[in-house]
Amino acid sequence: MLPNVFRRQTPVHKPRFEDVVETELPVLYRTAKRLTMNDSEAEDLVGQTLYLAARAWPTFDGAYPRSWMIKILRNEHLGRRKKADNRPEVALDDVAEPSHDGYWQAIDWGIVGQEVVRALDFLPEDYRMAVALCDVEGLTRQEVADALGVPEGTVNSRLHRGRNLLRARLVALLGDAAPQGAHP
Amino acid sequence: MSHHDIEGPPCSHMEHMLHDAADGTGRGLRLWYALHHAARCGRCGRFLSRLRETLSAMRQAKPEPEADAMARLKAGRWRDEMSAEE
Repeated sequence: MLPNVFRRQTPVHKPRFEDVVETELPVLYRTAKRLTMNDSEAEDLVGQTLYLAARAWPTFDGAYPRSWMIKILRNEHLGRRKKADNRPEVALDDVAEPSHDGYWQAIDWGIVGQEVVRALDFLPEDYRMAVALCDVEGLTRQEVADALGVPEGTVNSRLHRGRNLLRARLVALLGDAAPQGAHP
Repeated sequence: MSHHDIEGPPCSHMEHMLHDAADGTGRGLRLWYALHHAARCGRCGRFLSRLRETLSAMRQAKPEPEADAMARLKAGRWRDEMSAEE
């Protein structure tokens, strides 16, 4: 992967802010919901993000608006959490350590996508955001790295670990309901 | 080493490459090697197919945000900021 200095030299056609809002709003809202785990807080967070983004728009170069806006959203969220400093967060210790029993093979039986997405909410934030942004929202790993302010290698390791934690959660959620011997 | 059985974890040295192959970020020789190995190793082959199914399920299961919330946000105070710029 090229470093940013090379990656962003191509002149970018800067879209209208209104068009970016139209396209990115669902992504921002889902991301805010994953961060806050609460509908009204998510809406408030996205509202503030749009306001901050609108103010900063004249100085933004127009490249990768999705990761740029997610970065604003996340920074705002971190600022609020620092002020409140009382939000219970899912700790890694609270999540089942991935065991090797059954591995991915234990899952499926026609996984319902919503179950997978719901299971995401039980992961610690760092892993939840890496998996949600890459695997649900379809951002590239470099875009996620930009949005979260971490190196791409960190995104890779959080992604792989997050998927394994997700698998463990799905095994716990679906394992009991799964018919024995139903593995294809 | 490759496994003839399908139960159990994938080969440890393959796991990162299988993740990359499953989500489309794998390229070149690493991708070829991952697919080549998965085709011959029962555990890695099953791991890759299950991971692909799970990723596909996640991509298709994006919850649609509530329409009222979207409408409120589209009409939010950021519009005042944009009007002030013009």
